[in-house]
Amino acid sequence: MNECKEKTRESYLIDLSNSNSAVDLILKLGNRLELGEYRFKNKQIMLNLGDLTLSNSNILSIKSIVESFESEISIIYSNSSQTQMSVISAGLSVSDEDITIVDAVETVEIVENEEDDEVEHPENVCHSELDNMVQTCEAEIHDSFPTLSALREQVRDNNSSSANLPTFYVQQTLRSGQSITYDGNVVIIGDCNAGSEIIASGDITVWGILNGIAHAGAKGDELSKIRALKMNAIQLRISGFFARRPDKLKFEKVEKLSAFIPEEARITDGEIIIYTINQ
Amino acid sequence: MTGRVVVVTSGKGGVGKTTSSANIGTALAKSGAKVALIDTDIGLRNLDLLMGLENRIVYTLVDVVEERCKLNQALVKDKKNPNLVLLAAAQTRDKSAVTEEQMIEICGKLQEDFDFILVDSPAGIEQGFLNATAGASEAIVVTTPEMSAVRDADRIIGLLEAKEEIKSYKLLLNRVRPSMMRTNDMMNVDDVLGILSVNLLGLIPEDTGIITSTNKGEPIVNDEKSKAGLAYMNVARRILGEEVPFMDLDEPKTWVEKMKRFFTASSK
Repeated sequence: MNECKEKTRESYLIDLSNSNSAVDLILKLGNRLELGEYRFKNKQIMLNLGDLTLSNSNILSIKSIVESFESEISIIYSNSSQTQMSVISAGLSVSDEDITIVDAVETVEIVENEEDDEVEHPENVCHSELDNMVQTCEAEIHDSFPTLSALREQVRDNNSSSANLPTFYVQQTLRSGQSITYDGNVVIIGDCNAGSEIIASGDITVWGILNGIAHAGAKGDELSKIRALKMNAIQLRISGFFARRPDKLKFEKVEKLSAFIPEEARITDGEIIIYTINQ
Repeated sequence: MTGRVVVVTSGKGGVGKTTSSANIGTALAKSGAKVALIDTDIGLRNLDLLMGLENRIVYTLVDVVEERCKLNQALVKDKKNPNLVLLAAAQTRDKSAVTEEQMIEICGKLQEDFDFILVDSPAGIEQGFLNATAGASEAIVVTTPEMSAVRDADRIIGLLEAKEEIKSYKLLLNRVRPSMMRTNDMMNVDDVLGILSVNLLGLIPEDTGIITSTNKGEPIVNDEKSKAGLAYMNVARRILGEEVPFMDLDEPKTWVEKMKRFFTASSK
C-alpha cells in the first residue's frame, strides 16, 4: 500500500492515519522515512495523522525524526482536537483534513441585470431577492440609498466566501510564542497574548482580548475580517495590508471585560479600519 | 519518601531565579525539610556564590553525569543548615554537557532522600531550560512587573503548559515597588496576573539588602529584619501547604504622602 503521495515536486504527504497508537505511528514514520531515505531528504513533509490522539511530546518526537532527515514538517493534518493543540504548542501548522484549496470567490446568486437596475433606476426597486431575511420594496430612494444597496451587496459577498471555509475552534488563551496557521477561519475563545500569532486564510474571531498579531485573508482574500472583544493587536494584517497599533506614551492597563465594545477590522477603501459592533 | 521536584524558571534573565532558589531552599530547610538545590546554569553558575559555598565545591553536576564521581560526593552541605545541600554546575563547560535523560535520572535519585529538589533554571528556552524542566513536576515562574519580563514569562508558561509532566506552576512576582505601582509607573499585580493567568505564589519587594546578601554569600532569609527575607519565608510556608496572607508591602507613609492622599481624595 503506497502511503505516500507526491504532492508537489518539493513536498510529500505521508499518510499515517491507519496507525493503531502514537507509538505505532512514530515507528511507521521512522520506517517510511528510512526506506525512502534519499527521496525524503531536504523536503517539505506533510503528515496526515487521522483521528489519533497525540500528546505534545509525541509531536516533538515526530518533529525530531523528520528533522533528522534534514526535512521540515510543513503541515500536520489531524481530526483530533487534542492533537491539533499539541501541534500548535509545538509551533507547527495544523489543519483539519486534507482539503484542497477552496476557491475564495463565490458565485453571486443574483442575476446580473437586476444589479444594474438598482444602480440605474433607484426608484421603486424591490430587493426581495437580495435579502432573504429583509424583504422590502423601497419606494423612495434618496441619494444615499444606492450606497446602502451597494453595502448590502458587499455584505453578502463578504460573508459568502468565509462561510465555505473550515473553521478551527480553539478554546484556550494563546500565549506568547504560540502560533496558529490555518487554511480557513479561526475562532479563539480566550485571549491572544502579545507575542502570539494567528494566520488564517479566512476570518479571525477572538472572543477575548487580541494583543498579538492577527493575519486574516492570508491567501489574498481582502474581504476577510478580524474581530475581537477588545482590539489591542500589535499589528493587524488583512491580505496584503497591515495596520499597526498607535505608539502610546504610557503602557496600557488590562481593562475589565465589562467595559469592552466588540470591534471588527476590515478593509475599506484600501485601508484597514476598525469598526465597533454598532457601526 | 518521594521528594517534590520544583523547577524555578523565568525565561527572562536577571529577574531573580537564582536568588529565589537560594532563599526558598534555605527557608524550606529552616522549616525542617530536607532540601537539595541543583544549579543547571552550566557555564554561568551563580547558585554556589549566593549560597556562599563556592570554595567548597569539588565535584559538579557534569562530573556526576560523566561518572567521574558518585552523586553523594557532589552534594555540598550548606554552611549553616545541615538539611540543605547544593549540586553545583560546572563553570568550565556549557549546557550541552548534560542531557534531559540524565537530569531525569539525577532528580529521580535525589527524590529518594530529599523532601524538596529545587532546580535553578538558566535564562532562555533552549537546552538549559529543557534540562532544568526535564525532571520536574512543579514549576515556579519568576518575573518582575515589567512588560519584557511578563512577555517572556508568558512564553515560558506556554512551554510549561505543553509539558504533561509539569502538573502545577505558580507565579513569583519579584522586585515589587508598591510606591511605583500606586503612581501607575509600574504594572500592578492584577495587570500581571491578568496577562499571565496563573496563581500567585508570592510577592517579593525590591530590597537593596539583596545586593549585600549576594556579595556576602548569605541568603537574605537569614536576615530577620528584611522584608524580602520575610516574603521568601512566607513563600516557603505556602509551598509547605500553609495559608499565608500576602503581606502589606506598602512602605511606611511619610507625612507628605499622607497629606497628598488627603487632598487627592477630597478632590474626587
